[in-house]
Amino acid sequence: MGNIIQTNDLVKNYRGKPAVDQLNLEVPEGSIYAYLGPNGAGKTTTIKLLMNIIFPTAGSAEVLGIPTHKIGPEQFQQIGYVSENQKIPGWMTLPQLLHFCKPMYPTWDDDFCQRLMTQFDLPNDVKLKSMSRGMKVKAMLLSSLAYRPKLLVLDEPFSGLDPLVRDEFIRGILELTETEGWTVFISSHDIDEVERLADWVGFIDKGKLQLSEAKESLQERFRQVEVTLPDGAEIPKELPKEWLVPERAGHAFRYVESRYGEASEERFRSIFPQAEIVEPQALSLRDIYLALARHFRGVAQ
Amino acid sequence: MNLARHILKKDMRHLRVFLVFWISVVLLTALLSGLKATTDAGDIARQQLVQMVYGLMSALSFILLALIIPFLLHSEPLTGTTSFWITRPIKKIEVLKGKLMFIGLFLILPPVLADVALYLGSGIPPTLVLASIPENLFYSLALILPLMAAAVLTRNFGFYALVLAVYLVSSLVLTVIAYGVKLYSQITEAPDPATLLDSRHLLSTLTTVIISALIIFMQYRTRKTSRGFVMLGIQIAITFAIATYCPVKIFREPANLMSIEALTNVEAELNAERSIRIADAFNRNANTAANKEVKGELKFRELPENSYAKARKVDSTFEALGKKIRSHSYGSNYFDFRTFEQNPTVVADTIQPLELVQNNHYFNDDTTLLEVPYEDFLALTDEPGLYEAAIEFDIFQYHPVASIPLKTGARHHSEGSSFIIDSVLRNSSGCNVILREQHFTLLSNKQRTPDKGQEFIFVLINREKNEAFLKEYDYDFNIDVFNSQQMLEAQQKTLQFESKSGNAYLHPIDDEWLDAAELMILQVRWLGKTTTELTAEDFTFSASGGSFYNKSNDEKKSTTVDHTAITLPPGSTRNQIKTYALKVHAAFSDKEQADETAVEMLTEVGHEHLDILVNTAHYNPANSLPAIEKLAKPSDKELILKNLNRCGFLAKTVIQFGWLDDARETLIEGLNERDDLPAQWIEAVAALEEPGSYPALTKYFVEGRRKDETYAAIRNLPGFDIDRAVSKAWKAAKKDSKHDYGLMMPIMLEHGSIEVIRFYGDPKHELCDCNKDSVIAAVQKHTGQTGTDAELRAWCAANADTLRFDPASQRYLPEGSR
Repeated sequence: MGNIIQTNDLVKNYRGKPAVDQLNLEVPEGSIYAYLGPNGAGKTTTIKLLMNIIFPTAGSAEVLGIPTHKIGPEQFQQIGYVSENQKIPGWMTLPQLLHFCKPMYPTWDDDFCQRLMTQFDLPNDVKLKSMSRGMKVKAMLLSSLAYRPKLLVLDEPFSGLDPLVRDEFIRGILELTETEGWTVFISSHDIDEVERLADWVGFIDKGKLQLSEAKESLQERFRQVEVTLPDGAEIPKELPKEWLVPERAGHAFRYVESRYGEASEERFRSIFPQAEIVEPQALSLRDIYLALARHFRGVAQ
Repeated sequence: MNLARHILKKDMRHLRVFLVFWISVVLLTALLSGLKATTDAGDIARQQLVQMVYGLMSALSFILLALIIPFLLHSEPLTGTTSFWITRPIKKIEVLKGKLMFIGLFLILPPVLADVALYLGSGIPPTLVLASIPENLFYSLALILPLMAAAVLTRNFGFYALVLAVYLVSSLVLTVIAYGVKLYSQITEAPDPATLLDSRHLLSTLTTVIISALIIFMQYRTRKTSRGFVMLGIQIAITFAIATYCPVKIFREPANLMSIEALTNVEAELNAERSIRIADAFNRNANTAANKEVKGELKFRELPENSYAKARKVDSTFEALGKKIRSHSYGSNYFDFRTFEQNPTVVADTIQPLELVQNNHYFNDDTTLLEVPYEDFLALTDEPGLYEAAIEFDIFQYHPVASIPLKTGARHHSEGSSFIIDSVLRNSSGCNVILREQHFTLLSNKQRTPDKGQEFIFVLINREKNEAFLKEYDYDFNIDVFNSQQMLEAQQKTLQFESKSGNAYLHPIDDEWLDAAELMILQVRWLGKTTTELTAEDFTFSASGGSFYNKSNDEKKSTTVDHTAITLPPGSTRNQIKTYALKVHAAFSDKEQADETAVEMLTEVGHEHLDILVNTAHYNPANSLPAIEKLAKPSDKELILKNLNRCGFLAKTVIQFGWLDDARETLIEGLNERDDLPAQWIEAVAALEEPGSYPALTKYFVEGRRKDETYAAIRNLPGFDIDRAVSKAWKAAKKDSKHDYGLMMPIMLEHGSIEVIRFYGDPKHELCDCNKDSVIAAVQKHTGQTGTDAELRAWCAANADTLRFDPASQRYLPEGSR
């Protein structure tokens, strides 16, 4: 399987400052790719570049094997795009929205659409502008799914959604990707929700892609290590670069090992030959994300 | 499915409420245009209402257009990164097509169809109506495309409104600047011809259309908004530059209708019979002395028949005392409009064999021969010199178009123009013709001849009597019907024809005359232009100059009628007697008071022709009334009573013969309805001594014009509360003109009013020259003081508080005195 999204040294500057900086992103076909990063990291800018909404300052990108500047109606027939900031035609009701969208897509599936409508439980007689935020997102998702897109791009879809709706939303996407085999590219700063969805993870901070790999290998690689130090033990100033966010509290010393494996034991013993090590703990995606975020902030400072 | 049509349907559903409103406004505006054209000129209230609603509708249709367009385009905005449609598989060109279909179907087509219906309903030939459609579409685009351009560069209504406001204000400011620049330059330069003005108008409109269309197209292609704004700015600047400075002439002046030989034969010379006039020339630099304009009249020879010439440009030199002055002047500019009123002499030639009864028409043939700097003017005054000029001039010709019967509904249609008589209002000295004049002009077929003033002039003719009258005035009632693109222009105007001035006395426009009358329409045609050389040796001008406007005494004499030559031959026919009476009136027309000779002459018509005197009496009531009194007999009761309403002064005859009871109804009715009754009428009503008429008499005294005469008639009526009437009349007069309170002051003094003493003592209360003497005389009489107005005022101001009125002596005396 190839990459459905690929960027090559992609740059987007705003008034001389990079919002996306030398981005090299690869999203494998059929994956659910979680594109993570704090607010202002460059997630939405990346997506807008991929969707040909804005134009890159430098570098290039391809979506569905087509350079982004050439993406047009033909490609959008295979792309579903839902964004938290998208302005919807509020004067329409859901059936009117679907009626408006349907002729644009040759692959529009009425039965599938009907099934989704039932699943999403959306009212038919309410104008979109009068719907709640969750309903609006679901309506947009519905209008982006009914034609069975090859690539679903979701930009911060969970913002402002209550937990119940989020859960429904996530279950819906999981169900669909499982059965349809679509690629989903989802940006979020809400890791808990994405953890259930994603099989690939990318982490962007200050416009730079810090990490991009399969969730499984990522979780395999990161461990929380806790050490009980003997009396008088000193912590050297220079610690291995694989140790993230080290912190000491009395006799306890904690860090996140980012290259967990055989070599990690050796690294530990080279620093603390006498110390007692507690069994390293696997980390959730959220903990990894937080560790990385804090690490990069510390590096920047 | 065609996506453009799909988008069109979606927009129709989205904007359906606006569309219903918009189409209603378009239909209502067209309907009001038709209503305006048919509104009776006399129905001012309806005119005002229709005019007001039409104005509102026109404004509303623009507002709606300015609202619908952004709502339409902003549903698929081209700016910003968050709109729904930009990540959907819609080609931008399909969106553009959908929007253009909507605009064409709903915003352009209905007004164009409404205009077509209006034109056809107004009697415009279908071929012209068909030819108007492309122009109509062009102007619609010129209005709609800039609104679209503003909408495609913005993503919400607030931003759009701001951009539109800036666009409109910039355009307005630049237009005002352009107009000012033109006005300033044309103080001394030739006015731009219609060919150039229309070319600039067309090119600037075309520029607006093209650049706006480009902005829209580029924005739909590339969504590069900042470039669109730059183009919008460029559009404003280019449009301004073209509209103001573009020298390109797309249109051309029509070719001369006269042959070159005929044109070169026309020569100009100075009219020696008219004196030179000096005027101050407008000077651009207010701090320097004004130039002087030397004006005179040019006479043109070898002109085609029924034509006259007007100078367009005079390039002249004047050489005297070794000094040579060069001057360029233009026959027309913003501060010296060429007055193209009727040229009576040429009209008279044109309508022959009909005889034009000359009224007091003045035709301005004034031409600026030379413009001289003030210093040179002082130095060269009264110094003979050589005047040479190259004179460029236009030749105009009167051409009879048609004559239509003087009846309501009579009409004449020619290509694109029509004339319809709405009504004919007869009066004692002529008639007012309410005429609807309509012209349909397209930019493509417009005749761009030099300014010829009014293109059509009107003559009232009677072929049986072989007489014709030029109109005295026309009153434009301002019922202008314009369609949305101003191609159809209709005016309802009142043409006034009178036989009351000058020697027109001898040719009355009465009922009999009007029964066979027709309205002749003359068109002013431009025949061509050429240049001729003029040389005058010993040309002089003087500081005093002369007046074009004052006729010499000899000229005056030639137009008045010598009464000694008027005779009434024995055995004259009624027509001859009528002519005799009119000649007598004309001979004594310059006298306001009764003239014994005139009365004697009128009396000569004899009792058997009293009706002729009565029917012509309104030409000179002062002379007619004594003559009628002398001739009238009790058997003339019916004649007098029948004409009483028309000639109010006959009320005196009614009193004389004791016919008051028979005239009672007419007299009371007139008192209630009119405010300009002659004194004799009031005397007659007073003579009835009928208490029922007293409120009307009081009202007439308070509101009517002749307060002194009314007071004299009512002051001694039995049971009439004269004090109350005087008090009310004074209260009203104080707030009115100085003429009115001047008439009331002697009456108030007679009634012992201290207030009027104070009023007179206040110098801010000026007196009218027409009754100042009578007020001073009354103050002197009732105070016993003598002196000038100022001295009397000072005395009144100083003593008003200490005076009391003594009814016995009718004097104001100091308090305590006896």
